[in-house]
Amino acid sequence: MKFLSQLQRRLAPSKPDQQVDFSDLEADLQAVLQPVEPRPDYVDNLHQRLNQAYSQQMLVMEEDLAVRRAQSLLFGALGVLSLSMALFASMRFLIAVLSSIGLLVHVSQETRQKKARRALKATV
Amino acid sequence: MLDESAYGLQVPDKLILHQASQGDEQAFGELYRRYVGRIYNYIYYRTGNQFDAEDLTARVFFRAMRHITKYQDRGMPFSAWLYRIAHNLVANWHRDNSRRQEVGIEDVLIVQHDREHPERVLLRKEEQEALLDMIRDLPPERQDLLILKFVQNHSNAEIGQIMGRTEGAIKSLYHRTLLSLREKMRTSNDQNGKI
Repeated sequence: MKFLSQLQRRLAPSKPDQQVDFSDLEADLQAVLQPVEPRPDYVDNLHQRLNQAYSQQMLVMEEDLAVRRAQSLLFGALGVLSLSMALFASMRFLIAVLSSIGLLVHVSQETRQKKARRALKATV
Repeated sequence: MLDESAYGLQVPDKLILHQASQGDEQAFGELYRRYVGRIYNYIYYRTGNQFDAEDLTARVFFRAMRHITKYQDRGMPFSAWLYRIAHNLVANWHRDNSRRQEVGIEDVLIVQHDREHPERVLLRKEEQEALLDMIRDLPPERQDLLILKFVQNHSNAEIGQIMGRTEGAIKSLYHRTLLSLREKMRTSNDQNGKI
């Protein structure tokens, strides 16, 4: 039976079989793919460069944040101002429209009264 | 703010990452200390030479530094994010340097010189170089898998997290990678036999 299974495996070597033994290949890979240590001076140097760049970046970010805060405050104030101006202007416009309507009504009433008076005089 | 000495292995990446994203220089330094070796190794085996590995490793960390304040935790480990940056930079590097790199990798080959016959040492070195060449001929994701597994000693689950795949998919990819490597070795042996 053991011989038969060995023979079957030999006859179908390319079949994707989960039982294939890769231990020799894995040992070779383990031998070849060994971790390497980066140069210590390189690691230290890069660390220093990163630290410098990091603090500069944070400084720039803080400045950006301050500028953004100032911008948002300015835009907020401008927004409130423009809103109040628009409100004021619209109220003025409404008052103007209402007063013109009132004037027109008043004028038309006056003309009607004048016409009525004239008609009365004519009849008298 | 924690002192650099206060960071131990027990302090999780997430906590340090949070501090680094808030502008803590020491926290970023700790992340660098934890990952510089792994990223360097990954890039070293993907590029095949020390100089490009050093250059690209520096670029990975500078890029990470620029974007760390925008880092979003999506449940993946921080290392996956770094490996993704490294992977993209290596891909760009390969695109820009289509010619084969020939220097450096032999420096890393581990050969037992002691008590061995020089001829045998040379033969083993040649075999290892041939195997490395075969690895470098593999598709990038398979190279990534072998590097993460053998150089970094990550488990299949960790590799899955880093590569954004399931553990099962990694096992399957690993199996196919070994099959294709063995096939390449057979073909190479056959060709050498004919010569």
